[in-house]
Amino acid sequence: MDISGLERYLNNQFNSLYGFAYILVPDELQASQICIDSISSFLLECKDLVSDFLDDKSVNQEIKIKLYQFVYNLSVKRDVQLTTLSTENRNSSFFYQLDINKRGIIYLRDRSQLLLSEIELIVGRRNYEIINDYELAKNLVQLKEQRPL
Amino acid sequence: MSEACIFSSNIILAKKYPESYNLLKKHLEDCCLCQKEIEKIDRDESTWFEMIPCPAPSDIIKSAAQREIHELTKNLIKHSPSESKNKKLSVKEFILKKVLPFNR
Ligand SMILES: [Zn+2]
Repeated sequence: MDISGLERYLNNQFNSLYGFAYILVPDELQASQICIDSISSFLLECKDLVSDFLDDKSVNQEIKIKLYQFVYNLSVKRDVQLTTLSTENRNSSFFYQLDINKRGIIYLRDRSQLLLSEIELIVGRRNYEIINDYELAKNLVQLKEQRPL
Repeated sequence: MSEACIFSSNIILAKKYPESYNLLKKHLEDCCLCQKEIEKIDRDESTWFEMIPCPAPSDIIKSAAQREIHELTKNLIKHSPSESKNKKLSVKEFILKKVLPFNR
């Protein structure tokens, strides 16, 4: 039983969760709030995983995926409410003009280096849809942001 | 179009799934056309990586989050059902009395 270990673990996860949340909802305060809400929901709703973690830490990756899942679902909800907000930020790079699902997939795959099967769990879609969206989005971004070689 | 090697089309897959492309490995290492192609792919990959934003929380956000996480995990002890009668137990006492017996 290691509550302070859990606290440490969650603190360590915060940076990557924040990065993910910000990719989805590009606003500092919103992203941070989404992470805290996600951690809070995780602690309340995933009591089994929490107590497994407290016993031994082999469930680390499973917890990470769960946390990402909460962040993703919350962000998608907020995104709908906030579509008018932070348009400046979205315009600053073509990346933010991609739709929220595609931004999420790219981040999870290439920044968080998650497996396709893990991304499936987080975004709740089939692997061929994810691969399709990923390739499509990657080509678009590369096309739009291509620098002169 | 400059000259190409037919094996170059497998490079991306070979990078992703090295175990499945073991047989090709030696060729890819020895063939200068494939080597050129590998370098080009690596370059494309690194520019691609630069295009993906990597937002990091500011120090203020981080320390606020730390406080929140501390509260949230603290509440975990308080609200644990086996704990409701003895709210004043310290974490250490709690661990010794309630949890250790069930530990594997
Ligand atoms: Zn070759």
